[in-house]
Amino acid sequence: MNGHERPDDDVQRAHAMVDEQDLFALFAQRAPNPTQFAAGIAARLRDREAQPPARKAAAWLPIEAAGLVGKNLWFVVSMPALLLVGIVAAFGSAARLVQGVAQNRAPAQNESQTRQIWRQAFVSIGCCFGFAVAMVASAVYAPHALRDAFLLGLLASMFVLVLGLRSQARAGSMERSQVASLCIETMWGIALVLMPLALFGSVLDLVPSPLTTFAALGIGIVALVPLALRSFLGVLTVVGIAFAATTIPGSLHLAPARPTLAAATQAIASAEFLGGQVASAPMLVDHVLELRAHGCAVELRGELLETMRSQLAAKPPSAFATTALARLGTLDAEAWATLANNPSIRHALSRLSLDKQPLVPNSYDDYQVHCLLATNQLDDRTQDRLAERLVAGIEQPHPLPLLAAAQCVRWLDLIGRGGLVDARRDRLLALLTAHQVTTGLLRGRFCANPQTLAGAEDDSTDHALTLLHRLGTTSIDHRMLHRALARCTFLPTDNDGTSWVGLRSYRQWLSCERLGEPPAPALGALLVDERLTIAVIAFVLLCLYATWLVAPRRTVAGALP
Amino acid sequence: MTDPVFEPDLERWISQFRGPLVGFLASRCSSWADAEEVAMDTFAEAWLGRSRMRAAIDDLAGVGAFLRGIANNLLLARQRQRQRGPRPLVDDVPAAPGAVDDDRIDSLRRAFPELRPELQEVLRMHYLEATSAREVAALLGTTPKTIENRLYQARRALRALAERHLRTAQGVNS
Repeated sequence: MNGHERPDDDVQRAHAMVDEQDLFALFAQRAPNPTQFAAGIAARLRDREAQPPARKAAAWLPIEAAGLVGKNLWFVVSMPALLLVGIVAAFGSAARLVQGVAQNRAPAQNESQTRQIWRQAFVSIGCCFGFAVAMVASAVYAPHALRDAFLLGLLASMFVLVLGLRSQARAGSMERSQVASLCIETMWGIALVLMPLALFGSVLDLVPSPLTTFAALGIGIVALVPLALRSFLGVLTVVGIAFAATTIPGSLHLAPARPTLAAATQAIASAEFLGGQVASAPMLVDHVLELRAHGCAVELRGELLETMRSQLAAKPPSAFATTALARLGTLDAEAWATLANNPSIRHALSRLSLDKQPLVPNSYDDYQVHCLLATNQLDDRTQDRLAERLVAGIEQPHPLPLLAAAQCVRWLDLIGRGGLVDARRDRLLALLTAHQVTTGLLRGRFCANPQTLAGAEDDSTDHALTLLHRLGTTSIDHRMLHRALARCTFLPTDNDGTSWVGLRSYRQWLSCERLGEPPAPALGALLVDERLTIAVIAFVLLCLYATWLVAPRRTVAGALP
Repeated sequence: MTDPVFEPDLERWISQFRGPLVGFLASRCSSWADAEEVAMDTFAEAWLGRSRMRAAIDDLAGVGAFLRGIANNLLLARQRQRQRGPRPLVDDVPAAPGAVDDDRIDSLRRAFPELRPELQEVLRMHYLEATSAREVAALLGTTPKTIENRLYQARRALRALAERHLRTAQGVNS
């Protein structure tokens, strides 16, 4: 044993307790046998490597909507194969069609340039418009399946391109320059739709780096060379590379659970630079803890931290600053002892157990519990009183019931009375079900009054997710919640951090939901992560193939009689 | 039986969290055997799914939260399976410590179910394998100070309850 220490030097208190050796003896028979335990884990690891087909297939399921169809075995088993076959078949059939179109083109006709331009515009504008409609509809109604909407749009674009080429061939205006420009316009249209959505969806994830800028410039310069040599195939190759280079990273950012860590980093940096308000400290602490959870060694520095520390000596100390510093773990025993001696804090702590009315604590008052714990003031009596008040806080009507329940539950856990929460699990789950919006655009989210949608803009959904994490997610409509939360990723990060809260909640919920899923094997991971890359490459190849098939414009008039 | 050889990180996870995790699960299962089974499942699932873990592999609090999440999910899945299957639903009485011959220890064993559930839980997690408060705290998502506080309360309450049982038993014998 290395971490538990007997409370300070109080022999009387030690005598009032059970001897540790007796407790070890009490549990000695129940301790797991280390060898058997390790063997059990090794056997499980072996079993999972030899997974049954359905379990393996579930890991391959390449769409974000996995939760919607996970129970349909046929769908799960067939989906990866269908997708691969779909991409290959779409490419193969489009290539064959293009070949047929190139062979059966009509003789050149004297057609007005305006009609040619309109014909080309029809294909590119059609693709662009269709894509935009599909993507926006998917963003609104099925944001979790956005990547797949893009993939389907890309496959459909192959056939629209073929239709455009057929139209050109019938008109007899199928020359390499025209085919190349049609392909370029189509790709440009797709990229035009995708990029704003990708950028809008993950605002700060795509921070342009100097490398990206130079790469874009380089591609532009390289594209000029074949253009100067009037090699349309060369131009198309370069544009195709540029298209793939912009589309693939853009499409990756369509994943709704993409962490926007850059947003957190930027928020912390700007707060440190500008000094920041102490009232924004809790949100900054959220950012810091989020980054730490991702393995980033982040500490708050600069003027804001100094301001927060200086607030500890204020009379009264700022609750925001104290709670923030407590959550960051920067307060030592001495600091807590000093705080506990502050008259206003002493008064606040004593009121916790002396008052009798129901208690719904504010999140910025968490420091009070930390202070009670750090200074060993949370005796049985205080704990009982506090627990009674918190339970009453859960049960009394409140204008923001989810907020009240989440705060009370958190405090009950903090003071070690989580059992009272477990005893009220059904009641709390019923509260969640009653406050989930079931109709309209906010369907799936939570609010104080689902009928009038009062309080829909507050953090009710975040509080509901906190409760779901604590209680388990069995009785909630997962499908509705998934859609509603995925939609949050399309909100730009605003100043008050509301959408940040949504993003954070969604990631937490997804990670919770996906625990226990089998790991994706290599092919499954390829389909999950790279299906768009495969489809984009197939599309670019089709464009190159179509342009290569068609002969360049003949510049020689031929032998005269 | 020879010990299987695991990767160092998994070895560390097991040595840090085996005791507290079994104790944690024993507070939610009806038997120690079930708790051990789910704990082994949890380690295996966690290790295979470690790429999904947001924290660093050696971050104690992050690993604790990850294991807790998986353990809770596996427990829920197990409960659902049992509700669907032919076996009757297990009762919700958490597992008690083992029986021993010593009177003093026996009085502790009889007093144990009378403790509040959260105090029982922390005793199971801490004393099953003499684990430090840091690991217990990491698994419960709280601070070591809170765990030390609960352990103190648990030991004090258990002493009072055990003495009452002992006195009652002596009164009956005399």
